[in-house]
Amino acid sequence: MKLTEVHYKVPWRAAGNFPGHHASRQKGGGAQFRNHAPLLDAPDPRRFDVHASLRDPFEQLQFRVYRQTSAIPIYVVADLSASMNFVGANAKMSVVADLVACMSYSAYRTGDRFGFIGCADPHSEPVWLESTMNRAAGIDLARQLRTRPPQGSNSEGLLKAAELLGTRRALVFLVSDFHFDPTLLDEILVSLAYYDVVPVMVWDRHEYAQLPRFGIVRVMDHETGRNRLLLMRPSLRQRIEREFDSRRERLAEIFRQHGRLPLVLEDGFDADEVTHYFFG
Amino acid sequence: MFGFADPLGLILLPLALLPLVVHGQSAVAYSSIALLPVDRLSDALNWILRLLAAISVIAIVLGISGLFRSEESVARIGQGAQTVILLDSSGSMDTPFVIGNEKNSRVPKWGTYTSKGQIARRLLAQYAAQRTQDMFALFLFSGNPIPVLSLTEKQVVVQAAIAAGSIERSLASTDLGTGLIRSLEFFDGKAFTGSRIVMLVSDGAATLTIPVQDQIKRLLKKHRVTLYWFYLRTESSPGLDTEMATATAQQIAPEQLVHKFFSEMELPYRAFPAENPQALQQAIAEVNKLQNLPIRYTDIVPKRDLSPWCFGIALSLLLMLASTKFCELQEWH
Repeated sequence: MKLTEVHYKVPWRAAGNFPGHHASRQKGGGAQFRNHAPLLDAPDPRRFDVHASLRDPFEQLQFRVYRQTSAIPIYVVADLSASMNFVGANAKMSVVADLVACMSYSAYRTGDRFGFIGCADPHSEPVWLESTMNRAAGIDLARQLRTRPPQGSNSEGLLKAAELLGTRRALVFLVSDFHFDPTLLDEILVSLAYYDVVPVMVWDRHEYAQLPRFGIVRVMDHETGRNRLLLMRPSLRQRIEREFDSRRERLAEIFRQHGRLPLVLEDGFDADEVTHYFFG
Repeated sequence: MFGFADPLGLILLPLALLPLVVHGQSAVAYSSIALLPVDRLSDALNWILRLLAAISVIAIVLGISGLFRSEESVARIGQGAQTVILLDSSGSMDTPFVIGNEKNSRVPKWGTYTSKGQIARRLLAQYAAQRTQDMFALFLFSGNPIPVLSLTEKQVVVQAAIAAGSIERSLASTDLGTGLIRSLEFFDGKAFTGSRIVMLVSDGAATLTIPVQDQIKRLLKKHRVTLYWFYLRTESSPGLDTEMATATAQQIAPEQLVHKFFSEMELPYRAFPAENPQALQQAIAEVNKLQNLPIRYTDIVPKRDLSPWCFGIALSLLLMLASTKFCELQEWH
């Protein structure tokens, strides 16, 4: 896969002192003016400001203080429950893998650190890539995700993801199809409230649109192991479409309440779509 | 009542639970069933298919076990009578009619003419064929009475019984009394369900002693039987109605005395003297008109093997299931 860079920005000031690409609260060698300070507070004579010094009623020498730009941690928190196994027009897991590879590359390009946490049930060990500057880490991880089908029987492990995310505010891509209880989603979003969470809805058009017109089909849920017989017919087809439409609206409403609208990936992964989400 | 020819096969019956547990369809992976809307029709179809499969397994197992319905008696109501045909099979019945024979020959050599017995049997067969709802019994008598067929409404049997024995070589004597008594015993222990007829087909030449007469009278009264006598007059016999003294009649026409006894019994009786086949036919037609009353009888329905039905049901159900298999989708979109 050809790696395309994703551009992203965050609407908050980073706290880290590691130089990077994002607006920061840290004083340092940036281009954005912060304040004036006497030489003892800002000991850099090159920043001597003649005008400010002449204007100062207390006739003190004023030196300019600037803000630096900082790096932020980027995380992809992915749902590895069995529902992500679905293969429609695209395999959901390959969309996740593409996203991981791309974000890892983009984080490297932007100068940010990249980490990954893959969760399924709360009892199983999460797939965890610690926040790293290693630019190959995401590529390897993506290869792993492509080959190992997710087996989790639920998505409650996402509640524990916050514990692994670290103390710095990070940009977190919460990747899932969100085919679970909205109250669980609410709890997950509350647990991640400290971070800037971008919900990425990995849906597939073949899940709910362009369904067969007529026929008998037995669908199997790998997550619960249950199966159901469906007599497909135009009316049921319409009802499924309506059901997914209303679910999409409901999820969007929940995400909106927690700060961001979801990024919906319905037609496979497209790096430009992600860029568009931040700058569109 | 139902039974099984091979009950051991029934141990396969628990297999019928299999379709209720295992669906046997290829499942298509889907992300989340909980998101799909509730659909009653689909759920109903699911159980209907499982039920059909279970029923077809049951049907196959019942078929293997050889399900049958055992014989049973059914009460039926028909239009008609219980008729005992009492057929004289004495030697005189092998002679031709007085007049009106189809094939006349000077010397009555067997095979060159149609005998009285043969014509009588043919006409009786026609009569029986017309009255499909009647019950018939057949009784032959000459020297000794021979019960041929007890009361039945099964046409095939009746026709076969009448047709049988239509050959020469009858015996010489005619024991009308014993024949009549024995034929009346057919009604013994049977419920009176409609009119009862004894059709005596004879050419006479028999005497009835007083005790025999008494017994006949008693039995006819007891069983409430109507007696019809088809009298087939032999050539040179004076017939039933020629006036003559009792002593003379005893000598040359004993049937006159028998007729007299029957007529004076004060019981339902009618004689049909027939000199030729047409007359006999008319006589029989008249009886046909007279006896057309409702009759109640119990019919025995024979044991019936139901396993072909079981297999048939199983086949049709399996065909239905196979057709749904063709509607099955192998992929989800």
